[in-house]
Amino acid sequence: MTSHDVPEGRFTDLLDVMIQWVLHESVADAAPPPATWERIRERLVKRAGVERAGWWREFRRAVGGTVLWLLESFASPSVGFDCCYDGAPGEMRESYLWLLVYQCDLATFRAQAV
Amino acid sequence: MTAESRQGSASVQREDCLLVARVRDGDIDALGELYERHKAKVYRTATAITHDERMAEDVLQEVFLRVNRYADSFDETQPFEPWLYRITVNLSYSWINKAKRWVNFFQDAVERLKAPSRHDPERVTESREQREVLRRAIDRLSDSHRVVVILFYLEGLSVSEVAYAVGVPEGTVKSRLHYAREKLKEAIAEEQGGVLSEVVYDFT
Repeated sequence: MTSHDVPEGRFTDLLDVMIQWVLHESVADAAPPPATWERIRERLVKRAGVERAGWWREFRRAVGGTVLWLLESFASPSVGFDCCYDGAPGEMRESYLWLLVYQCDLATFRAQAV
Repeated sequence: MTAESRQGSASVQREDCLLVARVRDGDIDALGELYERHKAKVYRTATAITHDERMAEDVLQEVFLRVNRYADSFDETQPFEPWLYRITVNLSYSWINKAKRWVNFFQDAVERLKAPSRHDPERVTESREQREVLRRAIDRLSDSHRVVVILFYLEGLSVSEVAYAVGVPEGTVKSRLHYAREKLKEAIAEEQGGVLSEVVYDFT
């Protein structure tokens, strides 16, 4: 390492210059390993997979709950869907229809709902 | 700082902000670009704080995973780098705290074995020895003082940027820098008889 590696001009006091020099010298050869970005990418992809799986688990539960509510509402119209929705049964039916309309993966939704 | 370098720095900040916005939308390639732009600084800072290149690599990975996870909470009106340093410092702190008991034990043993004797016939030049004294004195500073010294002297952050990165008021940064400087001055004076002036010609 030479003095050219250290940014110039910030410090004029000798002690400050020495501290700066010593710190630069101590990490002069420090360079991140070349495969680090690949490892980060792998971890991100893996994490996204876990999050997607979690999302689908929640989605299945929501669909299962909705179907159960619909079945119960046919048998007894006064039954509410109080586990995740406290609106009137009519509003609930409307929400359910909108859920169907906006569902991006209809095939999976149908498979879960049946 | 010249007007040209200020302009360059502002343009870098704008590009960083645009990349963070893309990361927020789930763009991994944008995170890759941020990584390429800042990996050296993050790795260097983590290495300086932890003294362990494997640990520094773990910190580097975790920093960019956090940038990805918390991109939503990044304030676009602020520059990206201090935020990045803040994450780096916090992660480096938690890594060294986790490993501290073991690291201290082994590091002390290694330092004792490595420490050059003043009477060693192959001893290095006076100036190199002074730098070694200073390096060891920096290592002996408490973590909170050492981190401030690293960000200020190694990374060239301003007092306000260090304050943001470490999460303390500017006055605390100033007093930590002052205290650390005094400690380092004392260390050199004690071990080398205060011959600081001899070092000048070595790197000017």
